[in-house]
Amino acid sequence: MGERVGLEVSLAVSEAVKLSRAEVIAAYPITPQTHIVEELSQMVADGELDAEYIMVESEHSAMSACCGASAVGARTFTATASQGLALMHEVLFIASGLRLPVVMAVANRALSAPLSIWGDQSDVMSERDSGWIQLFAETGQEALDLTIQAFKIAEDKRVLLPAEVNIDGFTLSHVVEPIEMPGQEEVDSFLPPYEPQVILDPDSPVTMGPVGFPELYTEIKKQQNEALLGSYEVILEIWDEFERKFGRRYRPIEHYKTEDAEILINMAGAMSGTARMAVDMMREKGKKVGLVRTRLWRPYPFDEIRSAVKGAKAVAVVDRALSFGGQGGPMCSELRSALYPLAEKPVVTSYIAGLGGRDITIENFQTIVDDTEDVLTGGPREEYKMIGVRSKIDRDPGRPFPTPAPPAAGVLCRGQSGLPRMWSRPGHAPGAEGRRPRHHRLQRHRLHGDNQQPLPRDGLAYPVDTRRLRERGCSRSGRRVRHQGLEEERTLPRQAHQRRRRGR
Amino acid sequence: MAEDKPNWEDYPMAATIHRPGSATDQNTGDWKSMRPERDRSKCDKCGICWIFCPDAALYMTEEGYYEVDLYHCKGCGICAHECRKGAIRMVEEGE
Repeated sequence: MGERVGLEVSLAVSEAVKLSRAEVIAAYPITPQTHIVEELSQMVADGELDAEYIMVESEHSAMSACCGASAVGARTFTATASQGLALMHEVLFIASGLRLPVVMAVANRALSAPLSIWGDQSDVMSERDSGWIQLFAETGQEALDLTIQAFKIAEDKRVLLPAEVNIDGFTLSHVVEPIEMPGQEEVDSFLPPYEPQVILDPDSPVTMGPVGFPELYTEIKKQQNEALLGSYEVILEIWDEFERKFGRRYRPIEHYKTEDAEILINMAGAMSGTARMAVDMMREKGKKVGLVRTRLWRPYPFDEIRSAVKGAKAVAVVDRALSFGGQGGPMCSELRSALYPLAEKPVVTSYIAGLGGRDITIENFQTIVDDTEDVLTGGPREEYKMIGVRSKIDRDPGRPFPTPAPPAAGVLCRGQSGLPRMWSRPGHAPGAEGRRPRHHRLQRHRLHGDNQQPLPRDGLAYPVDTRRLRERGCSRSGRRVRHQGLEEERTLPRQAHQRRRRGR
Repeated sequence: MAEDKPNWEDYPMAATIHRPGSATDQNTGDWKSMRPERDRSKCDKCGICWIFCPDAALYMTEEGYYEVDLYHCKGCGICAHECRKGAIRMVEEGE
């Protein structure tokens, strides 16, 4: 076994790249990834690592250089974060589409604007569908191990896809942790030199990335997706081998106190450490809480996550990214889709927390679990909630989510505040003095175009038979909504509800 | 599945083309709207058109003139533009 050292996690990733004998590194420094590539450039300059270090002028070029290097058969590494990853976006798809096993570390950081150098996972979530294998580390040891494994996974002949190791910016990348450093011989025996299948070679020319005419493109995308889905089994196999060699076990989903748990927290990344502490504290108070941590994000471990949450009453998903205008958290929508086909499934609640470097505290996790308990006992349920967001309608720290005021007749109720969206600020409730928010008037204008139709003075600004919709438990757009006084009906299937309405 | 077309399993990984120059098998220029017409009486066999053709669609005949492979010519008109003798004229396809 290797020696145990105290090391900054960024430097541990660099060590992993060195141990993996990367041959080409092309990178551009960006906070909070800088230490990784700074250390690697030092290693190359000092002759510790026999690699070509390409200093590029942008991340777009970094990934392009990696693609070129990988295409000639080199073991290739880069690292980036946030805006850098976003700038790579275009080339990420080329790496996966050309089946180039580039390995990348991403020190996850928020995306601008407003400019934030601090951590969250919006950067990787924006690249979710880029066709890369995506892994999330919680600890420094994991960051090091996953980086070594990533090369082996990516370069496997059955896979040949790029792989990305996510480490949370600052909360993981910049902390010093005890790390068991494997020996070079051990790593060499685990990770043999890369044997490319096809390379760019003047003596035997090939064309990589030709024009994919409509009659070809679909088949190639199918091929690529099959490779990514098929990598799942290879990853498990490689993790088994890693366990045999290094004694550390890796699975797509990490379980913590889940056996008898009624409420599970599902999340990814370094802040799962805090979640563990919160789980321990809640367990002491007698709450049956557990943690399922997502380590493998792409390919998504559908079966593992289904069996991991089986038997639980609820799963609270904590996302460090926000899908604007959508379902809230990307990890939550994924879990919801995974569970949808199941006849018996836990309630899934979605929470957005830890954006732009804000901590997710133990209290936050307690709030999340309390709220999920509340949902289980018939409390208000929303698409998603943002944790710790300061809001005028909620100034009571002991009551993190406001109980919505009874909506006026004819007003559909949705949106995160629980108040009707149109009167989402105090003082703008129906009947209250004062002007309605500006966006209300805009909406009225837009919906009525030339303003030919007379507008109702109150209620919705557009003609909808709200009474009928309300009875059906639907919003205007057909989405089910929560409505005060209709909580019970809401939970019934529509037909049962209609039968009941007809008095049967 | 489709009778004569390959399935996704049949293609090389990432559609990589392993045989150089395979574009000669395809009619890569059959969609052009203009084609070059050559007047041999003006041509002095200088070969400028052959040098400039971006698609290598020109070939030399035994007499030393340059002719166009119309299946590969895209009709870009560069040869007509570069010809010093004005021996090449672009005409509409279908004329």
